[in-house]
Amino acid sequence: MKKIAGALLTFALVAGGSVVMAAPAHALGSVPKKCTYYDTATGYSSVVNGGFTSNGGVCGTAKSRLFYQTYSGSPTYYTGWTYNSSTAFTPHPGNSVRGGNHGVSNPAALYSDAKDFNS
Amino acid sequence: MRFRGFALAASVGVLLLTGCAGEEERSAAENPSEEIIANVSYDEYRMGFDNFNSCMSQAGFALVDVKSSGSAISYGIPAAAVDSSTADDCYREHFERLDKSWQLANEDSSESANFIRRCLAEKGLDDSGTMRELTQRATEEGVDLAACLDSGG
Repeated sequence: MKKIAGALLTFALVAGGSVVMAAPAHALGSVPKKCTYYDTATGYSSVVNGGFTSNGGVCGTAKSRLFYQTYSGSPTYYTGWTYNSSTAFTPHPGNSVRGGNHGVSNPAALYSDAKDFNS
Repeated sequence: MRFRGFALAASVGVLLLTGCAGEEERSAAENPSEEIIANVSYDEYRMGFDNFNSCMSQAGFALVDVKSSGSAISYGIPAAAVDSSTADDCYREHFERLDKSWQLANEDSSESANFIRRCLAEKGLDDSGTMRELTQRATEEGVDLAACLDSGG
């Protein structure tokens, strides 16, 4: 009985986790990076909708760019950088976004790797 | 005699200061730096892009899909140029400082501001104001930018 209960609990946790953690259909990834004690920089990219880097404004200038293909099997291209004081949004550039480069200019020193990261 | 010495020192000081100011003006377009340039004009921004584009061409890489998109220029860079660091070198030398300065100075009318406006409007919230005001409102109201983007916002 205990084994069945344990298995059910494990299944419930895994299933629940997968619902909570499920990414939207076209998302490549949502990557949070703690940049100060009070603020988080989030890098997000989507296959068909573009991407962004956001922070509450405490971590400095946000930047984002995407890499993409213009058709299936084409060479890969990078967009230029988008800069913004809080949310740098890069519009969808082409057929299929493969990922994003993100960063904020002033993450807290020592522990943060929010200056340059990928989604 | 003491006055002459003072006048000479003052003249040298003025000349040095004038020289420094000229140097600073030139460095706005030529020197790579993390610093933001105040009052960048569109012509300066455009010139920086053209120099970046020329640098890439000379290195054997052609930018693709170059177009003016709103207040900014959009373009595609071949991945090989990024991987070889050619793109970063050309960008840093010719365009980075002007690009960053121009975009930050015009962020209230940027694609980023329009994106936040769309997300606020989707939630029935006030979508007016500056980039900072829009960001503050989106944060306070708990607007999920990722969900907004994925829903086509």
